[in-house]
Amino acid sequence: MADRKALQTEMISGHSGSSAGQGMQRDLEVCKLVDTTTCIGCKACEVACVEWNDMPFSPTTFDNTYQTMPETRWNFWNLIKFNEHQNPDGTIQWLMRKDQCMHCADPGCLAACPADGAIVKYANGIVDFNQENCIGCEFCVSGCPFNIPRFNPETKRVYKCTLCSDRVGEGLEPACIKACPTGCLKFGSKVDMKFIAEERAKQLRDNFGWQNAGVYDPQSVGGTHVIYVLHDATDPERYGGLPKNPQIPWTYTVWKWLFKPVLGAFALFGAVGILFHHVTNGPRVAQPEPPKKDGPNG
Amino acid sequence: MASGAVERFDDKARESFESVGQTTVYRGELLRHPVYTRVLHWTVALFFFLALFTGFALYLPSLFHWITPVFGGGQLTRTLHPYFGVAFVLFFAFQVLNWLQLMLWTTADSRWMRNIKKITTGEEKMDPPETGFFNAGQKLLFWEVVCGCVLYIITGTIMWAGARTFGATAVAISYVIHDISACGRARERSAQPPSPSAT
Repeated sequence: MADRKALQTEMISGHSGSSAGQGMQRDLEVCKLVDTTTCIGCKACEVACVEWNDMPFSPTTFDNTYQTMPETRWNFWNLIKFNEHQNPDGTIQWLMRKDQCMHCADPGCLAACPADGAIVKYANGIVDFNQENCIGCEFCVSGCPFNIPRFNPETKRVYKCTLCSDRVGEGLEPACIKACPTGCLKFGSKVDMKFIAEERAKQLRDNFGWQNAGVYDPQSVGGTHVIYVLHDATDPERYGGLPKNPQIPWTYTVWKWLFKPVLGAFALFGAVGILFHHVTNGPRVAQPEPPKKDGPNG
Repeated sequence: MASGAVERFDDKARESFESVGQTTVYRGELLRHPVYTRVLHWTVALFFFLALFTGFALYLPSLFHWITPVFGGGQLTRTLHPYFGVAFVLFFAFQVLNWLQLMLWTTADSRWMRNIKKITTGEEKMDPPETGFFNAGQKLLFWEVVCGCVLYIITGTIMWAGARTFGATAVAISYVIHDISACGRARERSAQPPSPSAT
């Protein structure tokens, strides 16, 4: 959670009407650049993340790889995913990718969230969970194309990487950036990071023979505020399941903004129709006694 | 037992009525439903409205702020809603067993449906004589609620267990079906068809 005074809010989950002060102030879009080609898998960023966010100890899982655990947890937001990828020519590539929230420009979690103010997107691009408003319905888990939000059954809230919004709001870089020893992690404005990433990809293509080197900034979610430089941008799946074309489920986009109000109006008009029927036709009056076949009244 | 009011029903309907429970009719009134049916009906109604209001709070953000505090905040509203829903469906299931025989469709119901325009405009003041204990409108409503409850249980279970169990797509689709089913239920609550009740 961030100091909300320092960050300008752009989108609020489950909120009727626009965000207060939306568009009043310009704010640079921030971006985290992860250069997978220079990551050495030291996991300093993992430790820095746990340290800064003051999270309790989370037991590690050994599964014959260097990976700390199979996937991120509610109290472990930043995980280096290790993958031994075999190239068609038989050579092995040892791939390391820092897995965390991608801070999408169109956040699927925010679209899916029904709780007012539980998920906010700041004008600088950071998508943040406010656990005080979270109701623990876990819809965000189904809305996220990167499988990031994690539910804590004890607190009944959902947690994820905040891009250190508390640090960024004070003009500092995220904790993982500060800890990175190789400079594989960089932090700055989206424009700058995109420029550096493209330069690095060009360098990889021209000087190192990685023909398909490129930048991962999926436009299907409007771009992300965490971008990767990949040796082979045509196959991001090999980097621990990075989706090639991440999509927000259509039910959270079309349904929320089109069908939901239509259906609400349909239900309302049904009620209005009943009232109209009551006014025009009136209630059913008491039925007269039916004539008895063999009674004295005929 | 034999009062003027009861004789309005034909013999077949009266027989099925008797099979539901013991009925005592006092002078000047007709007790249409036995105690068991009425207790079930009120229990279903109670949990229906609890589930409806907790559900509305989660469905519409504009209602979220003032309905959720009634149930103890957003977290508790979300925790309680599935339990209310399960209780609603469970007690309604007992009602289904109770009414199943009376709710079966007959040829008289098809005739009733052809008369629907006269009935809704109030031109026809009385149900056709062969109409059973429930008329076709009531039967339609009943079966619509049964279908809705089946959808509730399936989609609700998927959403309750969450995306980690059933997958993100299943939850995302369930959410829509659950909403449509709920809006149908909320609308028909006010659209009770005319009842042949004598009281």
